[in-house]
Amino acid sequence: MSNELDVRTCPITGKKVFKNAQNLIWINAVTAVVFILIGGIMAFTVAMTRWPAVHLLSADMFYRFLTAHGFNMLIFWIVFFEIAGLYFGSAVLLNSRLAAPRLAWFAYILMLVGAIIVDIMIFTGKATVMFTSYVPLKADPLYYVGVILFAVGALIGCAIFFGTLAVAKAEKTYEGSVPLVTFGLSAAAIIAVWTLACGAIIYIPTFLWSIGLIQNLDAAMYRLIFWGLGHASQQINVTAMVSVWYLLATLTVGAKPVNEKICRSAFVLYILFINLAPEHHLLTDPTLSPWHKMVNTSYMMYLAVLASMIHALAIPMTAEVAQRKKGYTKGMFEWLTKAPWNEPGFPAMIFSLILFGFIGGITGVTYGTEQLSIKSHNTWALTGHYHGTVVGGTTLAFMGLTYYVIPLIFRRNLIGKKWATAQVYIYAIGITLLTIGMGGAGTLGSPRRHWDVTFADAIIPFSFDPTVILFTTIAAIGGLIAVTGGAIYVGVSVLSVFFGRKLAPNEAKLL
Amino acid sequence: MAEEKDKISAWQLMFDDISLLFLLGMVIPTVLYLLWGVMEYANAPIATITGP
Repeated sequence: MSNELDVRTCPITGKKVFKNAQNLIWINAVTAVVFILIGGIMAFTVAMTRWPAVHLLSADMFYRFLTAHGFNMLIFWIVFFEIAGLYFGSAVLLNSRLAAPRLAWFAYILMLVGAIIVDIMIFTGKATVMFTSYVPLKADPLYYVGVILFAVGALIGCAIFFGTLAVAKAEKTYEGSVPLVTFGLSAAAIIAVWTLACGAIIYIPTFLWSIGLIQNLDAAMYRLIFWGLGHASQQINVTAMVSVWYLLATLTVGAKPVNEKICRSAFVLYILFINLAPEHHLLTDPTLSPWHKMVNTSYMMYLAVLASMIHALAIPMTAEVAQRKKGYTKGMFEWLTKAPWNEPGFPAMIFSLILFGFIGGITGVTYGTEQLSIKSHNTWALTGHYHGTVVGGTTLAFMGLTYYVIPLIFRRNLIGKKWATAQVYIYAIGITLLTIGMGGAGTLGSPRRHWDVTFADAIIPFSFDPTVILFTTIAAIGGLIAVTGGAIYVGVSVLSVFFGRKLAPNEAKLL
Repeated sequence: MAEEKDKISAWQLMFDDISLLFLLGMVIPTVLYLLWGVMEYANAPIATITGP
């Protein structure tokens, strides 16, 4: 498929970059940005509807747009970006050609067609079933077809990643073990295969049910298997995000892991145990035994939590060691104060780590216990939890990485470095306010997925403590700030990718 | 080559074996979460509706 003409040598890393891998990374990453734009517009409308002072959308449009927000952000934006990341982590980091590039294009087309079908179904009101599409809520059969096509495409993408690892090993393009980032992405791909398989197991019978070939679909069984996709897909994000943290630490301060054995062991803990987390969604189901719940959410799951804690300590440590080697040894924190805070990558990594750990992680572990799950699961506090992990954590890390991929892989000069850096701060502030607002209102009982928390049209009137409205307002303002940061991200990325100055073949300019 | 392999610890050999990690990553959640859960649902007694 490839010949010598298809290869260039990266002037920064010295690694070979095959043209077909570069093109596939480009198309998947650009498509991801398109979907974050759609999801971001939906985020704005949803946040402005939850805010009682504005209450923008009608109930019908609110649930339609909320479904679209969930799918475009949680699945399309992140999975397209992750597929780009998998091709980068295998072909580029291993100095190798990509296995089966034509199949990779086919996978991309499947994912794109699937995503477009899903969005059309949602926006035309034929699939207002929320992200979970719990049965007996029934969407148009095409909606399920769209999800299945997307999942199959992503599964093929994972297979190509593993294929590329095999090609690189067979052709000896690297020595010893694969780099830590590639190892982390391998963990993400393994988690992804199980996740997408769960998606296939549940969406195929749901599709058959939607066209009438199956009469009954057990709602409890649906929930069990669906969350193997729904929650585990967020575990792919966690694992990919941690890999991106290691990459950003290298790109921004030249950090190298202090102890790779520890870091790799933590990734292995993810592979073994993180996919047991979906059980959190079933904690209030009386059918499942306490043993099933405890084994999956406590005994085993905490080993994955341990892995996150290892990464959360290891990554700042690698940055500190790298900075101290540069001579920033004064006091305890000179290494931190002299860090490149004026570049987008470093603050993106640090804020992502803090938001993921302190807002997303701590809430996740506590809400994942049976007692707190009963109290919090259907409140807005849960929404605050996963906006801390997926938005503050994963999305912010991916945004930070984008600014380095543009010159490194797309060979374009970044337009508006100051805007890119400001965007990271704006987005982090916005998400912090958003998650605190959601968490506060939810803890006081404000429900998730609710069109009108003032219950203005309710037959039996009810009003929350005014503090709920205060927290809801904080969340809405945070949402507005985050959407502004997201818009700047899309603007800088699109302008740079399409209109940024083309870098000369030997130009070793990163930012 | 054989000498080189002797120097590599068993843990590292396991970590370098993506197929083994893949297998473990499939089996553990499938058994502990999916199959165990499906068995519990399948064995739940069917509710009987009584009353007027």
